[in-house]
Amino acid sequence: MTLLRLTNVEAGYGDVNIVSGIDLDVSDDEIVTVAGTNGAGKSTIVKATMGLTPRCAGTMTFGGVDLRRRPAEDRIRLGLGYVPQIANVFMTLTILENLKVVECVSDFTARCAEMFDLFPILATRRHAKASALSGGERQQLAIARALMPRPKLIALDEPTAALSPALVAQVFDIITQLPKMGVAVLIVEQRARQSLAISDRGYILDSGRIVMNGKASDLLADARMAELYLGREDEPSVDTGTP
Amino acid sequence: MNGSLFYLNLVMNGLVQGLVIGLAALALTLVFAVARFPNAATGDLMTVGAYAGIGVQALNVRSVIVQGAAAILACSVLAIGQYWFVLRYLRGRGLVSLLLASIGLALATRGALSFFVGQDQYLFNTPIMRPYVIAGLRVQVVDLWLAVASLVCVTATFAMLFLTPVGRRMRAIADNAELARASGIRMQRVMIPLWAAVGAICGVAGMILGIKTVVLPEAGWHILLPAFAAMVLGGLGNPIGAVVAGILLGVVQELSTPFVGFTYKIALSFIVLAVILTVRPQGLFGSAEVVR
Amino acid sequence: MILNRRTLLKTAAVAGAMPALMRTQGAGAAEPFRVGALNPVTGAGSPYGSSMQKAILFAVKEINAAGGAGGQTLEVVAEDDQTSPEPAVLAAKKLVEVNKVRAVLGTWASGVALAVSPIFDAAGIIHTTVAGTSGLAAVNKKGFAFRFAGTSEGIGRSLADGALEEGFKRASIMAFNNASGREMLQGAKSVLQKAGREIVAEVIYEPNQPSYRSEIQAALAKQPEVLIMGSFLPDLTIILREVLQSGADVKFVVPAWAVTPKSIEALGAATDGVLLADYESALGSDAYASFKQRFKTDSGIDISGNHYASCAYDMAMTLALGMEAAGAGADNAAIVKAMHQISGPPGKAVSSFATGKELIKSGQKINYEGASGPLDFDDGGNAKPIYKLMIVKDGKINQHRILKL
Ligand SMILES: Nc1ncnc2c1ncn2[C@@H]1O[C@H](COP(=O)(O)OP(=O)(O)OP(=O)(O)O)[C@@H](O)[C@H]1O
Ligand SMILES: [Mg+2]
Repeated sequence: MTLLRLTNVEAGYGDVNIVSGIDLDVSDDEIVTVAGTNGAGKSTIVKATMGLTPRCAGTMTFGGVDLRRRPAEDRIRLGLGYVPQIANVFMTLTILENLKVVECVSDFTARCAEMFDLFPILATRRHAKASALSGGERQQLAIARALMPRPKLIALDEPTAALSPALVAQVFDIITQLPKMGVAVLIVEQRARQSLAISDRGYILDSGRIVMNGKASDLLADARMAELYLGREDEPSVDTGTP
Repeated sequence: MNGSLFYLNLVMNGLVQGLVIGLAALALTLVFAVARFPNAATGDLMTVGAYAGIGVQALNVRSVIVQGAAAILACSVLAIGQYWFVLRYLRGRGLVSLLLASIGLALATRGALSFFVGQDQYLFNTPIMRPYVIAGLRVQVVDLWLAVASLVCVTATFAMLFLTPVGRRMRAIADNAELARASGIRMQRVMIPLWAAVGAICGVAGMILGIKTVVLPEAGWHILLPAFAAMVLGGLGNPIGAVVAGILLGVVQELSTPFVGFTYKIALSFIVLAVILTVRPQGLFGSAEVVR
Repeated sequence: MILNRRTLLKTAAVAGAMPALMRTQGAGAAEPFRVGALNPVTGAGSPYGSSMQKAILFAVKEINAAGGAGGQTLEVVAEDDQTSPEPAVLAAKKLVEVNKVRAVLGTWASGVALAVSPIFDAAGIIHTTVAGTSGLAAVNKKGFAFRFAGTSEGIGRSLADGALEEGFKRASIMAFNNASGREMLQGAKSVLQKAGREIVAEVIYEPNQPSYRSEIQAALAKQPEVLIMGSFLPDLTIILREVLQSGADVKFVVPAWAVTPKSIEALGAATDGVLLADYESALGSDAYASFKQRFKTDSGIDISGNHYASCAYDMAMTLALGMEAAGAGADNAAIVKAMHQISGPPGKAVSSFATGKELIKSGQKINYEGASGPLDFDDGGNAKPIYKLMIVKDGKINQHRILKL
């Protein structure tokens, strides 16, 4: 069943649209990747979905609910979780506070315990400031924070940027488990190959427009697309995301 | 008076002045951290607090506690009102519009005060008590009480910030407003308690200023500049920094007087500020430390 | 405050209408001589300003009742300077350009007087003020300005003289850091130095401090017997409280304007013995007694606490006697010269306009001894004030002595 549906969406910051004509949907049990070059507008799509762009037009529904009238702080109540690309945790708060500060969490203690099970490293450092965490730990905290209110969909903006290959694998591993826990995933990635590999479907974005979409396996197999957007297969895609 | 004792007494004088500056700076920095603008109405909010206290005194209520409670109430109501009827609508318009709006509120508050209560000075009838002299160091009884009051006020503020859910939300907004929104934190539910707290701090600061000096419509306005300096010095949006820097500013100012005289001590404190900020642009204590 | 101003302006209109009536009756009477009353009806000078304005209107009524001066009746245009330079300049321009007044009476604040003086000086208009700043001399190029009260420097001298006459030997001086405060300090210093007395410490302090403890500490460090204060009300209140709290054994001599019954009441019994230096309205003089009594009956205002009202009354009197002495149709230069002559020796002492006018008519020289003092202007147009010392006792301000200064 379709959970998130964007129809002919355009969004931007100032006078000009950064992205336009965006048609995108995510079902309740799938992982969807949005890939594209730097500055293509991937983050902008996610921010528009979260209600965080100053300009946004078109139709957006989530679980059948029209999103347009809902301010950003209310979308979490509908079941939308978000991990931004940068500044995705509250640096000056402790780990525990980062989890506590999230609204509409029912049964905090139980949920917190579940998160600590999923991310054991957080449990051991719960009273540390988030600023004291390493990049990988911080990414885990960011995901944990977004999962606290048991969202139906989580939007992850480049969750593996600036992580070492070992950690990248670990993060992708966590992401693959999410649909089983009833969380659909919309993931923005520079490492398109790896990301598509764990995805059901994918969208390729270029200069603010969707240029290709389809099943992840088809996209991976498409030679033209591979050449243009995914980098050569033998060479792991370079990490260009902002830390 | 021998040399070191002379300076110790100066430090004492500076501490007392610094407390008032520190409290005002705390109110300023809280707003700066969460609402992102320097609130020029802070000083006049303090003045309103002092007049509220005077109003209660005029009703023949001698208890400073009751007077202080009235000051806190009046300031909180006014601060929430300023937010609700004016500042709320300027969210997201940037620092300059908010600053200008707060200057307008400051002028309106002062204008209303001078219109309704006039330019006559009012005084709190605190009894004149002789100081404790401890090894030559003069400690005023009133100052002791005022110090206790400001400490209670600062402690309460920090308790709110670090021990309550609403304080946690305030710190989250100060840290990363966008992420706070994405985490479902509703601005208004934080802003009302924030302005209430800011009002309460201003109420206490206004009472202290009123008790130490005289109550005039311009009284609080004159504290704004040093308070602003303390906020910057302490690291923008850093409450501990603001209080400590306020006290420091007071002490440095007084300690400088044997060398630069009384007319230049204020200028000196701003030179110190300029120098420190060139060396440490983030302020003495950094702005990322506590709230942001 | 606003109501107050409106009523005043109405009174002014009536005062203005009266000569118009007289003009229609007395065929061939000259145009009225227009006078501006520019006073601090609102703002910091408001405790004095409205009484000053009423005193001018009252004096003009008296003059016109005696048949006017120099063949002309006087007509008053009343304005509020709001104790602030900007509105004062606007009002001054209006008086000069629209109302075409020949004289402006009764500016009060130094800042206001300094701002409007150049306008009047350029237009050749007579300007009388009570402002205490010495800066006035520089803008008084034509010599058409008169000062009816003492200078800040003079108050400073009276403070020090008070301390000397009370027998104090070691004095510290503290003064507010503005023109007036610094002039008071200079005045006090000159008197003490002339008397060969030691000045233990000099402290100039900034306004609007949350506390003056360090300043006080410096002033008291070498144990003076007396603190001479070149102060104003808010700062002196704070300093008095802090000194009294510190328990230091020191006496105070302060300007009377820096203390109010309320501030004494709030500070309590510890203020006993504080000495206040003030102008003395010529207490014993006929002019003072008569003005005080008649003004009370006429306007219901008791001028006991308001020396400036007496000054304002004398301004109109001096101007009118000058006009009378200069004769019909005299220009302002002649009137100014005559104002100097009729207010100082030699001459027969007079205390009312009517008597003065009679004597002038009969060709005699007169010396107007005013309600605010003997006047006796110096060449710079400064009146010679009388100073007195008062003392706080049991929470009340009592007369103490007239100073020899
Ligand atoms: N807050 C903003 N204000 C103005 N312009 C912005 C803002 N954020 C992004 N942009 C612009 O929008 C365009 C798309 O940015 P966006 O962050 O969506 O790209 P992206 O595809 O996520 O790139 P990357 O892979 O580098 O994260 C860029 O040209 C960028 O300069
Ligand atoms: Mg991006």
